Amino acid sequence: MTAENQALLRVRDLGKSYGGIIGCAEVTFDLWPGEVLAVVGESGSGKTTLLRLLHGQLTPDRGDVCFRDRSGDMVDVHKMSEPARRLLTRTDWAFVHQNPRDGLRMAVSAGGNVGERLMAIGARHYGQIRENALDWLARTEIDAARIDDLPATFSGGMQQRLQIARNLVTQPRLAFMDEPTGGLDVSVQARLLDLLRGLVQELGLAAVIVTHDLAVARMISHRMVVMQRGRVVESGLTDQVLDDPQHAYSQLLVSSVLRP
Amino acid sequence: MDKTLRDADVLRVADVEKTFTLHNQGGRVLPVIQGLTFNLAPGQCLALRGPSGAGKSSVLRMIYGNYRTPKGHIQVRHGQGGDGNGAAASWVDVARATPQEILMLRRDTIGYVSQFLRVLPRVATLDLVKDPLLRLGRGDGAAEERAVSLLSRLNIPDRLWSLSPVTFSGGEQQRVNLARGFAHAYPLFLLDEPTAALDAANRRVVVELIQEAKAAGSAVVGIFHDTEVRDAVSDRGLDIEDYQWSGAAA
Ligand SMILES: Nc1ncnc2c1ncn2[C@@H]1O[C@H](COP(=O)(O)OP(=O)(O)OP(=O)(O)O)[C@@H](O)[C@H]1O
Ligand SMILES: [Mg+2]
Repeated sequence: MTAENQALLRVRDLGKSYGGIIGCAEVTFDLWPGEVLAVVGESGSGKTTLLRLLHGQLTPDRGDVCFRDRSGDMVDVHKMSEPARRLLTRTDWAFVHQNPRDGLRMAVSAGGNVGERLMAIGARHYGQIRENALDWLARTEIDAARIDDLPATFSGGMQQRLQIARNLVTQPRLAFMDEPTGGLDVSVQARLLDLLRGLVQELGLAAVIVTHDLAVARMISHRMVVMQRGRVVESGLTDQVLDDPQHAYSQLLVSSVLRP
Repeated sequence: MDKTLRDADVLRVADVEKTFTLHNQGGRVLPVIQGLTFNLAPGQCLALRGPSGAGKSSVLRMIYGNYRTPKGHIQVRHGQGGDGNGAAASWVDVARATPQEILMLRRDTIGYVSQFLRVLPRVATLDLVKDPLLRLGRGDGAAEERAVSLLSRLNIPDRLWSLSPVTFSGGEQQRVNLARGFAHAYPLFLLDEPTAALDAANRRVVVELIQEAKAAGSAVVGIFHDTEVRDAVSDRGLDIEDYQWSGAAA
């Protein structure tokens, strides 16, 4: 078996409640290398809880999340040491927040935001770091002339693209994204989505993308899970779930929007 | 691999049933088809016939894995290059396949052209047509050559090639969709009214494309409202109404 046909992320019976309220329950799925999984559902359905459990920011009450590291071993995200998990979040993993301010260092220049991730994994050569930062600004369609500007001087769409550059510069294998196009105008959203789609394809990146926007899910994901009240009520090929939804809740979601 | 399947077939549909349950409309059950069974060999074109709403498009969508198949089998032969490169063929039952298997079938084996193009903003027409070939690992040059040839044949002026089809007319979008659909010589084509928005000259081009694909060994399941097109390309027809839901499940 090659790495290509082994799961990159294995999630089993994952559950978390807050007091008596279910955050998420009985979530089980595999994510394959290069595969993009969309997690959809209304607000409060447990999408972000799930994402934070996968990423190890939250500790589950039950179940486990295993990730295949670069040497091919499955490691339990919630049993590894904190330094080991931090290393993962800086190298093999990316996390794109809905609000770019949560994912950027606002007091550091655009170039610095990108270069910082490289330095965190040991890059020291200033010229190379700057070169690499410039390359990623270009790939995320940010004018090279803005490299020394602070993110606060950028538009929302540019900030989000900078956050993506900062995350992808270390060539991660898995990205977690929480409503990556959430706070943006429709026209800016389309551009960002298109950029993300291209990058994901080009890098062979696997991703879990939380979104309440079914059109975003359609455009960017291969597979989809629909969550309601913390549980996965339906999952499958994205276009199959959108075009022939089986569960009452999926049908309601799909029928509430115009042709996602 | 299922040994009972005739090696000569590309597609084997057996006892397929489809209903839609509308949970948010009082749980109404919409019966569509029942007992649908047919086989298809390479180079053959089967035309699905029947009145509007009979379930023709639903059948194509089930074969493509876009609609679920709750009962029956849809076996698609996968993995034998049309060039006879000897790679072992296997059968994939779309009714039970994993999402990964369906995506693999769509990349290598099944081409689907619907009446409408799902346009992505900002992707140039030329790239849209090259895309399926690049996914198959073809070189950029070969992909471009094929894309240029198809766009030209389908009379898309070259000044439009670098634009996204977002702003194109319905007929132009359909032709881009056809160019993309025919870029690769899929062993199985599914065509849902591929000439609906086209003028006579472009209809003729589509007929030629289908005939060439068949001559090269591709099988086709199509819905053709234009009887002239249908007569020119299909070898046999299938009346979907013969498989209308009778109520009593077999
Ligand atoms: N996703 C869906 N959910 C619910 N019902 C559906 C869905 N898709 C199709 N149907 C219903 O299934 C029946 C068959 O539709 P289908 O589109 O397959 O017909 P058709 O033979 O292609 O018709 P036409 O010639 O008008 O294109 C119709 O009653 C339609 O309303
Ligand atoms: Mg139809």
